[in-house]
Amino acid sequence: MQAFLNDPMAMILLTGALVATSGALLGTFLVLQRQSMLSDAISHSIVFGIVVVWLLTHAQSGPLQIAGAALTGILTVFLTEMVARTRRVKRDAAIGLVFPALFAAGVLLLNLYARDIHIDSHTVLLGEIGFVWLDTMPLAGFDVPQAVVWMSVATLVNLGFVLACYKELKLASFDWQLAAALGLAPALMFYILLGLTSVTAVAAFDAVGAVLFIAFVIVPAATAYLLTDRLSLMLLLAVLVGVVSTLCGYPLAVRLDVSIGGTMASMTGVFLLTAFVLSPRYGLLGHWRNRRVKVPG
Amino acid sequence: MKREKRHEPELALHIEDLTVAYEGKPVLWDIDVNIPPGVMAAVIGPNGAGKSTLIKTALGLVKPTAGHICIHGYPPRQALKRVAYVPQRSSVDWDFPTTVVDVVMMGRYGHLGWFRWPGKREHRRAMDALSAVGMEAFAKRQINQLSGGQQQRVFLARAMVQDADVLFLDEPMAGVDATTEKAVVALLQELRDQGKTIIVVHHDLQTVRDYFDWLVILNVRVVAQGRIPEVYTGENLRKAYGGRIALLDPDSAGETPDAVPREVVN
Repeated sequence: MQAFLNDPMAMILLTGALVATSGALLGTFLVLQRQSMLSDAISHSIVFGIVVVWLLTHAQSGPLQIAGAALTGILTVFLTEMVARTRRVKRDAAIGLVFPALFAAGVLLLNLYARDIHIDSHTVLLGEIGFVWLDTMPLAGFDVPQAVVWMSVATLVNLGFVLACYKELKLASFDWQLAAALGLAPALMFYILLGLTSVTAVAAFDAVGAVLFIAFVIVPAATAYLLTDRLSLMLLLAVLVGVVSTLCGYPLAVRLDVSIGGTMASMTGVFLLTAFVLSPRYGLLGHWRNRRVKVPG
Repeated sequence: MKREKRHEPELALHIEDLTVAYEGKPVLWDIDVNIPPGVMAAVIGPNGAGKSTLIKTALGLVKPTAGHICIHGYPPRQALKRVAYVPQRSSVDWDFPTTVVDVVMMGRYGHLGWFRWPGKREHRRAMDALSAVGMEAFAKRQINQLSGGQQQRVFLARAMVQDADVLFLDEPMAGVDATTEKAVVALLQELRDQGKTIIVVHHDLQTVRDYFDWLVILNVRVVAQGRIPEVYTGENLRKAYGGRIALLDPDSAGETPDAVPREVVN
């Protein structure tokens, strides 16, 4: 067991697979609710939360950082909704106003007060999945990489949330008004979804950074959307596409001697492109074929 | 929890002194509406009259600025299981990855309650409702393969499985074919005959008298309400629609026009 946990390649692949799984579980619903770009906003603005929590407590990871990130993520969404509600600014522009402000504030604080902290703008954007096996913590008698521990927790929490609230999430994504009229609190579901996105983003931070995390949230879900018209299958396919991307991405990155996280994320793009062209239902090929087949009904 | 006494329990929908405003602009101004149980009521009025807002407020989706609403004597938040809602078709994404029968089962989610997954029983209820609207053959179809009329039937089936006493429908006849419109009306009338109350935001003045037996004419304020013969008059319609209504029959200057009024699209 410890040998497995000490194996850099195994830990890199495991971390990547966990990031992909946790991201795809949430991303599926974000894509369906047309809120994909909120994950972009959140993953940037949590830098602000991470720096503020570090300044207050000097905790670089752990539960305080996670709580701080969740709050910053929700703050981002809350501020966005507030700006949009003035109706002076459209909603997409509101997202674009809020997260750069928080991100900039985070970077500024980082430069002013926190030069020694391990976070720098490079890590913030890209992470370094190649080193996750170095930073371990004792757990049940083993030395387990921190990234693996926190990503496992995030994945389990996300999985639990999606399984427990599957029908609530489905209805909130499909018909917000009916969900509200039935008392199934779509707004609460939405905020929990985004809170978990923040938590997952901060857990994935060390491994893949803020920007690549977005790729794992959005791209596998968008790929799965092209391949199926069942929500449950879309979830499964999104997870599968994400995990396979990390598994293919690693050896490719080693061979080409380039960023591992970047290659893993690029692989999700390759899958999206493949689905876009070849999907029997919604791809170019399917479109071309369907045009010649009369749609029944 | 303290149980409040029911207020006006003998009315299916009771609205008193209701004002709803968006950003300080009143959409509904000090309205009183009373609809008895067992009628099929149309809510009509020009664009911007507050018809959809009225329904959304009754469902608790929009917070009133002032006034109160009771459904069979209960405030909206306590009457969730007594009301069903058919939103405008355009309010949902028909490319959503789900099937027809799945959408109908969503009508049971409220009764299922939190965290419980729909099962065989919900599936059976959904299939029954789909047969009632003539859509059972489409149960396994992806919803983006439906025509507008078929979408409306699916939404109606979804409302039927909610087992509600009061059904709110927002423009169910908008953009559907004539066959569907007839089928929808027949189904709604059947539900009314079972004792349910049907409240429909309607835009086609020509069919009001054929389809409905109760009428609420709205234009930010309530212009008139009551049984169709007393309320559906040229005077009331002109009050609501102003110059935008053309009464096609030249004799229709009288109080109860037999003519077919038509809303002039500007």
